Amino acid sequence: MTGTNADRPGTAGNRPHRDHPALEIAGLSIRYTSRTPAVLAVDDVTLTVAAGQCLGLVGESGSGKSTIGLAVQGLLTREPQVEASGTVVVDGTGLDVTAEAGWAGVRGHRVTTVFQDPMASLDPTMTVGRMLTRVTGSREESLRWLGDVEIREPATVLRAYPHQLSGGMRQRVMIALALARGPALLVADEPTTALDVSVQAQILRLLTRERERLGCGVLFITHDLGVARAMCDEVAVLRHGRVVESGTAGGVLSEPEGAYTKKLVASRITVITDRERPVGLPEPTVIAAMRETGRAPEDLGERWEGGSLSWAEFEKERTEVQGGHTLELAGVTKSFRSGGLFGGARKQVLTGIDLRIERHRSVALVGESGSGKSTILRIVAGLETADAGDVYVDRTQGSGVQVVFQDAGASLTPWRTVGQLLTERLDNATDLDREQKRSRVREALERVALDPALADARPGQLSGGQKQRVAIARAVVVPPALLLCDEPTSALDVSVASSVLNLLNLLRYDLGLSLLFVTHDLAAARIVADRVDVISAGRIVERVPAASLSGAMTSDYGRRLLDAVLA
Amino acid sequence: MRSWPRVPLILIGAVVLAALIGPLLSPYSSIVPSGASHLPPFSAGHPLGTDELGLDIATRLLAGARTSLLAAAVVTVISAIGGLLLGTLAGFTGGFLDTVLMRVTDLFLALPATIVAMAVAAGLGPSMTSSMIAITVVWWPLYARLVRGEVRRVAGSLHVEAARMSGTRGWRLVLRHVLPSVLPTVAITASLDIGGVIVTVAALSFVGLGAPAPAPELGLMASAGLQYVVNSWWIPVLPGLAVGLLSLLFTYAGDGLRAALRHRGA
Amino acid sequence: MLRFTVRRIGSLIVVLFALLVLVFLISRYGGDPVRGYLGANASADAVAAMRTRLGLDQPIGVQFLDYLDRLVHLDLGTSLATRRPVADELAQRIPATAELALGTMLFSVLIGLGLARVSGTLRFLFYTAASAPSFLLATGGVLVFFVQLHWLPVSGRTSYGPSTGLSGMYVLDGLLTGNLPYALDALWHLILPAFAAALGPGIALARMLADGLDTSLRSAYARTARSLGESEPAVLRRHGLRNAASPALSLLGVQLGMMLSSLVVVEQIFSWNGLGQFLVHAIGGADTATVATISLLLGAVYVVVNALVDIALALVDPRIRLN
Repeated sequence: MTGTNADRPGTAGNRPHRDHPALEIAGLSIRYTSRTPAVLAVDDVTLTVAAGQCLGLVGESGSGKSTIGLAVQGLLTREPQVEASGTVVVDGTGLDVTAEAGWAGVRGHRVTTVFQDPMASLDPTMTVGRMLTRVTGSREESLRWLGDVEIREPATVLRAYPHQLSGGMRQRVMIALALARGPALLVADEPTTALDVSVQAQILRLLTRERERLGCGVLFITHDLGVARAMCDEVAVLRHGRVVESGTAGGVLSEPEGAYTKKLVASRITVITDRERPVGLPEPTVIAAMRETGRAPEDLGERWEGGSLSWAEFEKERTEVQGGHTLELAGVTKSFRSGGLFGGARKQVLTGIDLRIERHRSVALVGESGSGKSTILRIVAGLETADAGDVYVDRTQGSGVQVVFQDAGASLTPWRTVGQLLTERLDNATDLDREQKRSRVREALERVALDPALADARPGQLSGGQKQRVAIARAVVVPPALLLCDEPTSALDVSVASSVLNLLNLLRYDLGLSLLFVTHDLAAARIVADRVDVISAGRIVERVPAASLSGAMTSDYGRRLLDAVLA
Repeated sequence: MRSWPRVPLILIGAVVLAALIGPLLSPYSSIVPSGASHLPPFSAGHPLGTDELGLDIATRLLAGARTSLLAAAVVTVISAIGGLLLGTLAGFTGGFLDTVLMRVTDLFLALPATIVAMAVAAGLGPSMTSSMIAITVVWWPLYARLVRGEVRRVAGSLHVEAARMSGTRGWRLVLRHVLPSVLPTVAITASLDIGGVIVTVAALSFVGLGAPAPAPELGLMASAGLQYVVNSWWIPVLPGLAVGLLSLLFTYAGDGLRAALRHRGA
Repeated sequence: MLRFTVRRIGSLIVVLFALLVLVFLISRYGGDPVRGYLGANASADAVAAMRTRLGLDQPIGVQFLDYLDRLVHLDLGTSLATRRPVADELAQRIPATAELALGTMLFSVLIGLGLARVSGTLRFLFYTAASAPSFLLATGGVLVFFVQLHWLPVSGRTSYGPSTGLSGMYVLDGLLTGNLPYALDALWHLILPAFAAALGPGIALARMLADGLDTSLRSAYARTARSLGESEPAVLRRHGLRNAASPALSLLGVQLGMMLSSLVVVEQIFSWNGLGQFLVHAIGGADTATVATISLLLGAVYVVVNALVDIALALVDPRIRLN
């Protein structure tokens, strides 16, 4: 369908050659004065997006990357307490990011955006057709654009409301909306973060193709180095509002120069990361936790840095009988009622699941959203019951099953202190006296590299990474027979995520925990698991040893997941 | 933490105190004439004037305010506590009890509260007690509904699931991990509701569902005084103003409480 | 959509039935209907005879069926206050209350829309006024616009006689019969009572609209619209109002309950010869059965209107159908 309509505006064929950059930012600083003290969100940033080029703006949460994205499309002009200095030139037009004057005719025409969350970003009360035709001008054009963004039944989708579409479809609609007026600059603000990996790959391909077809410049905002490398010609790494490093994508991301970029690049986990050793650069908190085990070598930090520190060194010598299974699932099925007044249809989410975890072993269950992986975890945890099949957990090796949830912040009761939460677990599972409990709480916090003084803190006072470590501490303060992890790292910045993975591995080797790790991230799965089970549409389609993941993966679905992980 | 809504609280304290002990301090009776009739406000000895029977309006307003506050407090407290117990039970246990309770509250909430309260009070025979019973009958489902919804919401949240995973069950789970986030909502709603209950009590009294004249009830005073509005405006207007002022004070206190609690929660 | 409608009508029927049972119980057990008819000094024989005549010695189920039967045949008994058949009284007064209720509804919407975007002191003042009881607003209105300014009439529905039209709503009848002065006069009489009853619901509506607009203007989809070059007024009109309207409208349905009870009070103050005034008469005359009947009528109107509002909103707003 593409490339055949040369009469349309926005087709590369007749697009006027752009002789100035899509975006030029020089000395841009942006300060939010609503907070005291005022926050300098963007600090003296200079960058250029050449016409038809893709510039990646890479940074962790709070780096100021989204503020720049909002500023260059004039979405900060109505914010009352924003101060800015420096210049922004969009497609040859100089603009003031804090004043509305001049933005009409630029915003929405020469610069447009694809936002992160396609559900919230589309008006729930409007049909796709109504929104799209507002931009394209006619129904025919709208249909053509839906075809261009690879939507299969454009006529049906045109009549649909956003909630009737899948996440990927919504993002395609969002892209059509953004590109239909043929902008000179497209701001893509984490456009695939909320999507499944396989959909992510499709959307990224679509964006690249449309960029080449339309010849527009792209400011690509992301926290994901892999995505940046796959998408961008150049990257600028942002930290605390400053550009700390910039250059070609390949150069910066394979041979970083600055310390921060090095750390970011090292924290990134791929399917070829060495899984025998701690990931990322040496981190003081993780090193402290390693020392707590009493089995750490003296020159811990140097050996980690030098790549000669191996997890095997922390492996506890086990005297008890080896073999046997901590978890056995046999023929587990589960269906949910999918609405409906008169009984309704039942949606099958799990079909004949067989899953075993040997004692002291770790299994990762990898699948996309809706695959049923979280339902398995909830059944093992006892939060749901299976319709049929057997669930057996060997509780002789520890105290039951514990869970570390994805959203650690939400899993901690906000009004209870860290100490109270951990003590509660001890109350429920042991008969220790007060003094013993107190020392167990302290040990558990040290084991996850938290200051024992934090026992008096409430969850609201902790950072995201600290909350996740508290959640882990609560789960292991009484060592469980089986630890379940539900995407524990996917909400965290890469550097924090890698230290959480290191801590989990430390617990695994040190305490000999059995682990079921549920994730969509094949790379993270490979790091903490002995075996990876791939689940799709409620069935386990493949089981491969983590050590030889890429070679051993044979199923179509597994290969597709693997291809989607950007190396 | 943001400062407590101090001004309305102090005013409420003053009004409640005045209503409680005021009638004792006043030299007049609220039902025995104490001077010339139709005296305007600021008359000697009668700061708010007298009504058509020569009753001291200030004394009657204080007595009326006492009745209103008492009625509103009783209605709100019984509704809130009843709703809290039933709502928590239903929300947390689910199942049959929950279904029954929700059907019943659905029914009540689908009906116009004040109209039903009027019918119930008329059925019980007009009196302040009937009004209180009638308003409680239509008011408690609101709380049961609110609490049940909140309990369900909190009970389904991740931190309760996590607490359950760590082995905490039953009433301990409810007390430690669920109710602390439900109680402020109930407290805010109750404090915002008191104003509404005061107005409703007055409305029922106005249409003749309270005590018979010359009982010092604010709604009754306003309706009985209506016929004198042209020449002695203060007779019907002052009781109405008293109702408005009471309701306003509690509304602002409730708003302040909400702001303070929200701020603390954030 | 069909499923939603069927379900909503199903629940409407259940609620109507419950209301019926409640009203039946009140009219049967509230007060003493026999003493009501015969007075307190009637002999024991006369009381017993009356009980038989009224069917009070029958089992409760039979009494209920009997009650339904008479309801269907519009045999609603005799008003103790006016000694006329209740059905006739109602028929005469329904148009009066309907006219006032429609006027109130209209004013509420106007107030709601007018105040949704005001801010600062004015907003504070109006929110303050919202906590005043309707009888204070009505009395205050009488004082200011009648006693002081002599602008507006405060008694009855018209300066002329009853209308000759069919609807019994004087403004409408005046318009239909081409009698413009009559319609204007009736409208003039309507303003104060309708405004007094509308202020509370109108301000509640304004608050709801303002909150809804705030939320939707700060939403991600509003940001998308801006990023696509929509001007701020267009964002407000196309996305803000659209998303804020349906919760506000469903609130209006709920506020009808508050309006109806305000009307009872307001009719009393403005000598408006409607259902509310009749209700107060019946309360004064300890005529519990009539009180129950009027409550049934007002309650049924409320319940039906809310069901219609829900169905209409579901047609407009896909999110409601979904829930």
